[in-house]
Amino acid sequence: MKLNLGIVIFWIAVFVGLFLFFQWKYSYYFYYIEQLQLFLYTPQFARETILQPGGLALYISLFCVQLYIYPGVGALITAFLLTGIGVLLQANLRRLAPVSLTCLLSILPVVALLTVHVDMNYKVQGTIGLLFMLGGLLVFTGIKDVIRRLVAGVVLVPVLFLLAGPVAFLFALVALLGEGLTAPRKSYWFVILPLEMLLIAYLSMRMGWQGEYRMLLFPDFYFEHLLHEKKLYYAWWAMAGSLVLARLIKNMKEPKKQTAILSYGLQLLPFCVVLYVMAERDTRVILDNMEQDYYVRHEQWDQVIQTFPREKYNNHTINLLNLALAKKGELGNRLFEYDQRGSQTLISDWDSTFPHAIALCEVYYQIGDIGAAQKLAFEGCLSSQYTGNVRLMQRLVETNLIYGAYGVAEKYINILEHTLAYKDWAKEHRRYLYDEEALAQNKTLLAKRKSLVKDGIYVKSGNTPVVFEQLAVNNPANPLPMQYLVSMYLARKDLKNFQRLLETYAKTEVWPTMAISQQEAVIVLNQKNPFFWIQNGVTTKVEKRFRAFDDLMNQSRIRPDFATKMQADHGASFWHYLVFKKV
Amino acid sequence: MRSKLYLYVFLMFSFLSCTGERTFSDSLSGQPEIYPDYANVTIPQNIAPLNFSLVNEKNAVALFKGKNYLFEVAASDGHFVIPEKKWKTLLAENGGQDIEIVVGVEENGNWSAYEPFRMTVVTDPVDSYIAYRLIEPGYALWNKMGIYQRELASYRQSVVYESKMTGYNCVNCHSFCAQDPDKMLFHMRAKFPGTVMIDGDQIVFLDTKTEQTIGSLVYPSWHPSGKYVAFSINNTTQDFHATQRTEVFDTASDVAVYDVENKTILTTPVIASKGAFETFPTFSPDGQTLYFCSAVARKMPEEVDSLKYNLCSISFDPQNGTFGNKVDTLIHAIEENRSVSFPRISPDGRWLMCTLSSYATFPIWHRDADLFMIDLQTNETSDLTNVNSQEADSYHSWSSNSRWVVFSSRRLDGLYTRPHLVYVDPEGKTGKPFVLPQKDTSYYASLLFSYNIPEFVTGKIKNRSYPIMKKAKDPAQIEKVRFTLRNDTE
Repeated sequence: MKLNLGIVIFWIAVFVGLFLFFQWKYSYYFYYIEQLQLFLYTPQFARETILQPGGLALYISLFCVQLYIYPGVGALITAFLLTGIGVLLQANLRRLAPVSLTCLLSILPVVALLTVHVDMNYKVQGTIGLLFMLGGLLVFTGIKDVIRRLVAGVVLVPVLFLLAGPVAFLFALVALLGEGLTAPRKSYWFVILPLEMLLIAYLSMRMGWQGEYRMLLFPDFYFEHLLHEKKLYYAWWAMAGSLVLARLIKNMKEPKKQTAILSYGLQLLPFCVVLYVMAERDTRVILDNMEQDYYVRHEQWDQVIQTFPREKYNNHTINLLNLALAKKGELGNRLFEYDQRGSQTLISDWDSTFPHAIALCEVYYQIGDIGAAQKLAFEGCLSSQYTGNVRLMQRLVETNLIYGAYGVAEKYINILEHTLAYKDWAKEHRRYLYDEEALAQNKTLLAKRKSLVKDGIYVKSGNTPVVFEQLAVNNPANPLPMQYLVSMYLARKDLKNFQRLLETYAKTEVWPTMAISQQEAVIVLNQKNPFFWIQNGVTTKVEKRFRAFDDLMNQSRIRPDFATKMQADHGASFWHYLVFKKV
Repeated sequence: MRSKLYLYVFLMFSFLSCTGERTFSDSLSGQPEIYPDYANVTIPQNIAPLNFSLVNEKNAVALFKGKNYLFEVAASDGHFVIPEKKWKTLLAENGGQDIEIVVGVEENGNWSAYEPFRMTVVTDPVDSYIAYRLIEPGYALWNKMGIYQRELASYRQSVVYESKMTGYNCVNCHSFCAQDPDKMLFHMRAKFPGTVMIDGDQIVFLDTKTEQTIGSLVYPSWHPSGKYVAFSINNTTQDFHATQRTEVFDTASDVAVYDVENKTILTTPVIASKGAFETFPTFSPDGQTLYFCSAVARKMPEEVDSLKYNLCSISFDPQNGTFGNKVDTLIHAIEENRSVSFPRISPDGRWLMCTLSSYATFPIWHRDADLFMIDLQTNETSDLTNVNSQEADSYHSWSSNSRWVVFSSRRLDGLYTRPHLVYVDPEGKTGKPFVLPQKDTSYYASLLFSYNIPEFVTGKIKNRSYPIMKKAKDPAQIEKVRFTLRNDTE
């Protein structure tokens, strides 16, 4: 078959466009998704994954997703898969219509898959499944004899179901549709194909493999099972739609070379427009969360602070911002530069989702509340929809090492040693098992254990302020618990407890220096007593600012620009927060 | 003694060498370190091969020797996969005796043998299946969950019910009437809450919440007649623990008996009082005594350390569904400074096994949880030192012939519960337990689920997932239970 250069260039352009699109807009998305899986290089994992309906597609998808950890690979693989969808679809459509006119039709399902592919609830298994389906369709439509084609279809339906899942039903429907469009009189026999699939679905239910038909016949299977998402169906509709449209242009002639080139370009243009519009319009906060998560995971605290989206954020984002500030020793100084709203912006209540578990686990772990971190790591791991969560499994190794639960830590190390990207990390941590001396050489683990246990008594998680205070006392060298504790009381406007901490720990190794917001709170405790301020570490700079704040407050009734002036001059102060912010 | 042993080994392998088998040129001190630890365990004749691995050794062979039967297995990368046919033959021919396993390792072309270890093969068969729930040992959340069964003579595991059939809800507390696979029940929680009761092909879906009870029916135990099921009714919650991750405890609980035929919950004030937490009921094999655990009600979670359950009993009249008015205390928790949970009587009525821990309701989270056994004829306790471990050993159930117990243990890694089987002879002497064998010895290392509530079953449980799912999802098929408070006394 002569290679159509125009077609090749078209698909290369699509591939490049997709790659650039994903890499520019969604690079952090892929890093995030990578951690939500556990691909193991063991025969047991292969067996358990493959030997189920849709298993081979799942195995291949997990293999691909594990590679997302490498820069650019996520975008590369996704671009490749989606381009493959288009190429295979066009290979099918060229039997119906002039090939140079089918490029846009082949792009339709690719476009429909774009939003799905950047939804973390979607399983890449779905796209792999579509590739299987299109490959099967190509084989199917390549058989000229009707009877043989029917037999092939009957065989392909259960094979596709076993290999790739419910795409087998799409195959059956598309095959029937194709037959109806090309040879209507003989197409009635091909009703057998969707009927066969319905029978398979019914038997699957009877055998207890699934409890809902949507999980056996429709693309819901390739999505988080508790959600019902309509956009999944668009790609399937687009497949069918492309077939119908191809049939409609069947009688059009293949254009001349120059016209063909123009035609390719015209067909590529809307695709590029869609990519551009989608990239511009996708402003989901979750994408910011994912980028932020990348920085947090790599402890790039400056980046977390610099990229914090002040205009749109959620508790998740600001929790991690505050963590970054704390890690830089700046939480107390810069707390009210940001929109704090009670202690939830410091540590929010877990909403039972795994993205939030990942974020909160990080916060608690860094502070040293290992019990809470371990719980979130475990719960987040089991609620990750694939086969596990490598990131949280690493945390489980660390938290269990800190607790001295070496049997459990070893179990997770064993598992991670069978991964591609984490085996070296796992091997490195193996040396801490049952070896207190080796563990003592790891400063991070040792420091966390020191915070957690004192004189054989472990800090019990649950009551956060009590826990943080104990952690701070156990290991004053770790400033985070006290930073957080004080900041939480200030964010709650709990001056009573702030004063208690001040009287107990100020100027000790537990709380050696007063950050700016803390100095501001000291002034609030005793506004008429500058000697009290000096005693408790308030600097002249802060004192001067207070006087300016006080003066401005006295002008509140006479200055028309009071609110703006107050916000501009003192918006980042505890005083402003205390007086004007509702929590 | 040792030199005789080595001579014996040398002669044995010399004989083998005459027949073309491997010979060992040297001997190593001690027994080999194997995983799982199957050395000196007591096993039934109808158990799947106890495959094991050598720790830190790759090139090895194992010689399995019985009275008149001998075969060799070569390790694959340190793992021994015992041929099933040969294993079955070995056990069939050596009932009531020990079999011997000699492990040899190769280094620089020389083969050396460890001291042999034994397995005692008893002729008392174990029930053909165990059923269990697989669940991640988490805190509050779950993802995939199901009840499964495993044929003990093979490695085949199959589904009894998976929660994906009903929206990934929670399924729990499976229980069988006298190990009968066709007469069982389990609960569903969260979505489609209720209790599924199965009697042959008859499936009933019950809503067991009533206004008079503090919640739905929870921990079950069948009456031997199949006409009643004892239940607890619990308000359960959890909190962090300083060292054991979590503490799970009841804030209130009562005991009741469900009349299957009349679909009525029966109870009496002495087993459902506000001043006590009554839970973990179980019937005696003759059905005339109801055992349960009872603790003085405490303020939770502040006083959880003081929550200790006694083992109690009350008479029960199955003819009328009535209770006695006197509660007997068999184990005083405060006196023993231990808390009792999960009492289970052997089907022959001789032995009572329970779990003891230092306090609170959920022993699997307590490392000090151990199995405990009393001879009900003599009231003497049995020594279970060789059964218990340093980690939590808890939930247990008896085989139909009263010779085997399957229990949950966290001894392999401290967190993930695995089923262990232990032999109990007619005099109450126990063998060394063994973990449920798997074809792949690394199976447990990578499995991220715990085995929960292992129960013996005498046959294969039919997969009734589809009709159960249909019943659960159809509100018209849910049957409401009634409540009756018995004040009648014998």
